[in-house]
Amino acid sequence: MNAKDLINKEKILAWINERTKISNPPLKKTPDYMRKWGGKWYWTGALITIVFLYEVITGLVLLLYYNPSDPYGATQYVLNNIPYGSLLLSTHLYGAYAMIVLVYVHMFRNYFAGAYKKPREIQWIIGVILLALTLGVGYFGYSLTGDVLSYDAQDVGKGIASSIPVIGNMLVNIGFGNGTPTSLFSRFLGWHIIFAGLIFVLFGYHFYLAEANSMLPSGKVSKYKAPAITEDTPDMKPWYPYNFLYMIELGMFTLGFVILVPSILGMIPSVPILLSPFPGPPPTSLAASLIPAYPPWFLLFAYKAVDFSIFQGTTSALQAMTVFTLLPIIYFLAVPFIDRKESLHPLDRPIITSFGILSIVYLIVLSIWGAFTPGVIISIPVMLEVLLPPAIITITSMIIFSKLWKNGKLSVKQRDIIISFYIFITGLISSIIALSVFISDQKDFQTLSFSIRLILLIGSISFFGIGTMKITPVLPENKIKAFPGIGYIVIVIILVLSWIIALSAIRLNPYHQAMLVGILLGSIFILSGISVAIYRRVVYKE
Amino acid sequence: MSDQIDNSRRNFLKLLVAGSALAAAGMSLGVIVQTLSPPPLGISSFPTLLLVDQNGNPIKASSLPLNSPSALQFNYPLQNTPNFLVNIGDENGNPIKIDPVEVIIPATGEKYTSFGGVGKNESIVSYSAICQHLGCIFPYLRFYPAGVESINLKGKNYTNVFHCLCHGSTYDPIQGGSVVTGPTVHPLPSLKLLWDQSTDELYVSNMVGPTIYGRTSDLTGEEPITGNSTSVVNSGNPFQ
Repeated sequence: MNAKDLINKEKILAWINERTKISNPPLKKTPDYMRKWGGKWYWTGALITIVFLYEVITGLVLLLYYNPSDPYGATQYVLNNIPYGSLLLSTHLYGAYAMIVLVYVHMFRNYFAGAYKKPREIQWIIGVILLALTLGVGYFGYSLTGDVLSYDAQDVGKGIASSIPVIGNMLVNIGFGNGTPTSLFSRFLGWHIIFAGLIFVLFGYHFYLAEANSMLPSGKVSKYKAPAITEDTPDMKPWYPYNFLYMIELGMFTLGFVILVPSILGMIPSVPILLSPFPGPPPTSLAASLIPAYPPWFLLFAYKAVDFSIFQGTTSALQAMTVFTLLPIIYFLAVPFIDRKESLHPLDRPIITSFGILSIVYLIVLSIWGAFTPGVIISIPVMLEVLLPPAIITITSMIIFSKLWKNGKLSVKQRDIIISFYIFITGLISSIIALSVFISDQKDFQTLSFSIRLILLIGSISFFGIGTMKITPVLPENKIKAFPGIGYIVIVIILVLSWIIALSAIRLNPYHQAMLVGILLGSIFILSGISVAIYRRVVYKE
Repeated sequence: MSDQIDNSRRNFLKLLVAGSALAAAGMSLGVIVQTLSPPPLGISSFPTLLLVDQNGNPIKASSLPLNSPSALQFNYPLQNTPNFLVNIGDENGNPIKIDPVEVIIPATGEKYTSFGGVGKNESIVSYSAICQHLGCIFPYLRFYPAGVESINLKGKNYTNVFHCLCHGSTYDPIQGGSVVTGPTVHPLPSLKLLWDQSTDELYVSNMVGPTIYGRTSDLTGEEPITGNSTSVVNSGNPFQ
């Protein structure tokens, strides 16, 4: 071998590839339509994985600074005394929020698509356990800061655990330690990491099963019949570089938003405390007395249910948790065995689909309700007035839709889905406006409930549309042709812009301008994501 | 368009995309690495702090007892950094005027000038209360006031010395904290006190001598003291 051979680029790459197997990873190939414009729904699990990895990295850095004997001091130290500390802590929090939202999205997407059916029953059950673990890891992580919300979360958790008969007190001791603050926060830290580890292990198996069972193909391919398998065909493009680049693109966008959103919120003064990217005041301060006792927002739904007067006596919290948390979890664990028909189409199983829609609706309604009226007791008529209409509307409309569809009188087209999605977004925006009016007027929830019901009616019907998800087969041909010229220009602009942003960001103060750095960093990620997307479109026509 | 050109265009495009991805990756790496390295705790210069009692009232120089075996200690220049405050007299109860002297560090042979006494009689001095040998603190390291307590070392009686019971190091506060007996090879660091004649209040403003035991520098390794004062705590009489 002479010197010329040693620096031969091809040979070096081949040497690396032969040993790292980087261009031939043991991952399933996927059909082209999954990587195309409308194929995002196939990758909700990938998005969770990306956010989870982000949480692991930032969490391990934060672990180096945590001190269970002075949790609030340690939190303040991270925020004020280490470079980019406020960015680190706030994006770790928002990464967790993103992960929770994405886990729900992933679950409901697969629920409506019927992915829990043969051969994916166990994969689905592990997924439901992963949802519970994700909420758990979120609960313990949220409680680590030592601020007033963390003590509230601890009180709520202790209250519910201790109301369980016989084993309640033991559960409190297991979860919260021997009663000293140091023991409490050591437990929180321990459970936070243990739960994250469990998620990692179970995710590994979940992912292995996803690979082994293959991706759930589109309804067109599977003809909406279980078992639905994506067969390996010779025309499938190799994982590397096609899926590899696609994962890079998704990663860039996901990380970009995870960093961007809390950075923007961190620069806005007076963000409502439930959504603030920073910890609240310490529990012993005057400011803390003005904040109502809240659990983290992702557990507000269960917290509101505790206020229903239908649940009475010393075990009222336990009853509410059973009805609004335990039963739904059991239902989702059991759904592969309840619905054993082989049809995957959401309109072919109207009751199952309705339960999915109702779960989303109740989750949102109870959460918003809990955020605005924490601890206000809700009488039975009011409870029924809020909870019954969505149920009646959803179930009857789904049954009607289902009948029409089975008689061939209803065909869902691509355009219908897009339109219903826009209606849903409009409804969402108007509900946010309605909420802000509500906040400023401090009206009773009653007044609000009508508009919320109306919006959720629209939402429910829209979810029907989303539930029948179809995939855009190809990007229109004319768009592809229009890309290359402008694609080059955009990619060059993005390259220049990213470096200008990166170079100016490193000059900013890593302490009081950390959130601005976050906005810039998030923007670079999103810009690079756009760049990769254009590249894939220009070069791979994807 | 030949395949050759297409390929080079494609590679060029690849390079551009990789360039912006590199900006994102490089910047994230920079941020993560920086979050991993916390700035050392400490201050950049010696602060001037008023000596106060535990209630926050200033210590009056004239009220400091002469030859007291009880230890008065305060933190300086950072928290958890104790120093003794002593008012030194002879066995007849007359204050001793303490002058700045040249002190030798036996370990290195270096020399420095200690700070002299303050107050009406220039008899009030302050020294680090962490033994320079292996870091023992009060009550092991203690002051033996003349006419009150003494320590017998190898048949010789010493008084008006700081002596550490851990391993037997002895320091002379009248001679700038210099080493009297080993095993220590470093004198006790000397603190600069200021006396305000009009108000009789005491301030501490500087430190000289070897680095405080166990620190890489006098000004780092502990939390800064908040506010403009440091409180003097009476730790009691160790001989009782």
